[in-house]
Amino acid sequence: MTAKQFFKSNVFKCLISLLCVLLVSGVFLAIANSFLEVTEEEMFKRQFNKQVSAVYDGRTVTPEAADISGQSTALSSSTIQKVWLIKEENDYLVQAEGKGGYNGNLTVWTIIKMDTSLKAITGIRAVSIYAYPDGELVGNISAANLNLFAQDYKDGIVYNYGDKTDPSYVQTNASYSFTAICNAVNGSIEFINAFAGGIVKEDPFEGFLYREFVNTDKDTKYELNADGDVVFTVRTKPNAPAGYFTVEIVVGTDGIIKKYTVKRYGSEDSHGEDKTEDKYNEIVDKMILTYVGKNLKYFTDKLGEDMAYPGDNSDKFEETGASRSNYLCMYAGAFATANYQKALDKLTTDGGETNE
Amino acid sequence: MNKYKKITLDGLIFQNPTFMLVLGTCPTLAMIKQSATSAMGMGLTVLVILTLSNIIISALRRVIPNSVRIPCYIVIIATLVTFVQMLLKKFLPDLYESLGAFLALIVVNCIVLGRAEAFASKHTVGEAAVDGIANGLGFTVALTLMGIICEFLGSGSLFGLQIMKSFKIAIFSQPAGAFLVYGIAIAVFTYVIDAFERSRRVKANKLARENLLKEAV
Repeated sequence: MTAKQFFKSNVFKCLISLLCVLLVSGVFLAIANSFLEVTEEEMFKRQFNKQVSAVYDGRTVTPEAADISGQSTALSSSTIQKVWLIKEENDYLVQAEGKGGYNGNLTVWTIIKMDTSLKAITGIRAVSIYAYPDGELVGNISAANLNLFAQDYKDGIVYNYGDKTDPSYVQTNASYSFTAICNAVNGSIEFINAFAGGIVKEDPFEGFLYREFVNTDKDTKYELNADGDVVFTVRTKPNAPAGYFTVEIVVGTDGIIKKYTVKRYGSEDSHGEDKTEDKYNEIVDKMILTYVGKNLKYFTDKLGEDMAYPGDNSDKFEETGASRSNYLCMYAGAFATANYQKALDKLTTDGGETNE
Repeated sequence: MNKYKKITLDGLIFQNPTFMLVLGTCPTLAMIKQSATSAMGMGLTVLVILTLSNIIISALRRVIPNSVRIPCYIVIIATLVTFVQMLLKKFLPDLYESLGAFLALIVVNCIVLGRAEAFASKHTVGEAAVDGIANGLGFTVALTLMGIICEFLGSGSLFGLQIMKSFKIAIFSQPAGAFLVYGIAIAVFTYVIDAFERSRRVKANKLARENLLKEAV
């Protein structure tokens, strides 16, 4: 076929027709998009009117963006994105991204009630979900579930509704999402406490590495034993469906693990699988034996510098079948070995810190 | 019968896409179990897209070569769906959220592509527009009616307004309930159309017999 024949052929006509339709459609959509794009500001106004205004029973409130530059916004289980002051009510609206969702992080709005001087938190007014990744079962989380945050608030509370092994567990059929919401609300409270200059909680683990899956608010501590080793008691966070673990890790010279004991198992029976809690515990017991004699390098070689979860049944675990529990135990190991020197320095200078 | 009247009646009743041709079943079942408002919203969205796609496809029917007509139709329909999606997101965000993934899935809705291929590509722009409106209305009315039934039985409300507080048959807010309502609605609709056609035939026969008798006398 010559070039002339090709240009006169039906094939060429078909190609041109299709390309023309595509081109016109593309240009049309590009123009439409420039006019119809929903800006972030519009999105905020819309969500504010929908989710926040109702909280104030029709009273007019105006959010005023607070300057949080220079503040520490990356917290252990959440990241603070934006804060607004609602002057009329002495409230702070905090937009925080809570870690631990099923498919990623959930962005949550928490309205925190403050005293008139804006120095101390007096309660939670409301919690709502602002944005979430696809696949989160947030539809299962009812308004009543979210109202619990306001109902149960008390000074120093750390919400744990998404943790199946915690007495405050709330059945939602969306444990991952609810865990992320709890993390966001806890982070919002922590941030506002620091930001408002009210109750500033001293962080005994300041500067410690690998805290994301370690519950530094509860049970986690470190102390010196008679041999001069640092004994870490680490309570991990849950990694649903696995609950939290409490482990005792003795770290000796050069950050090498001398002894690793599980004090509380977090494994749970998995839905539909022929595995009991005991079988999971056996796997965990077998696996922790391999940590003795290892230092931080062992854990980071396995899971990388960021110690990110490699996924269920990953070949990076010594034993498979209890991947999430294994991960928590490895994470605790990394926490202890990575922070050995820091803990030792603190213990030798000021007698150590605990946070029970 | 006037051809526009025939096109309208076909789209609305005799060739109703939901009850007679059983097309667009996926969004039908998904929306009627949600609420009457969502069902009506889906119906109206399809109406707009169907009418616009019919008009455009009919206008381009002599320009688009036969061999690439289906890809061209799909591009046109997808463009319209994306455009309507943008409009809803901007101006009707609540409806946009309630339609969810089913909004984007209108691209593959059999009614839209079916009418483009079976009607718009063979008729004038005016006829195609009337066909789009009639079929869209037929779809909207069917979805709204079933949405009302499901919402009332499933949550005791109508268009979000609570009518009976303690009355609730949970299955009607579930896919199974939607199936049940859809099946019964098809049966009732087919029965009514059959009865109507039968009585029309009886009348026509009677008239023909009388005419024959008159001629014989």
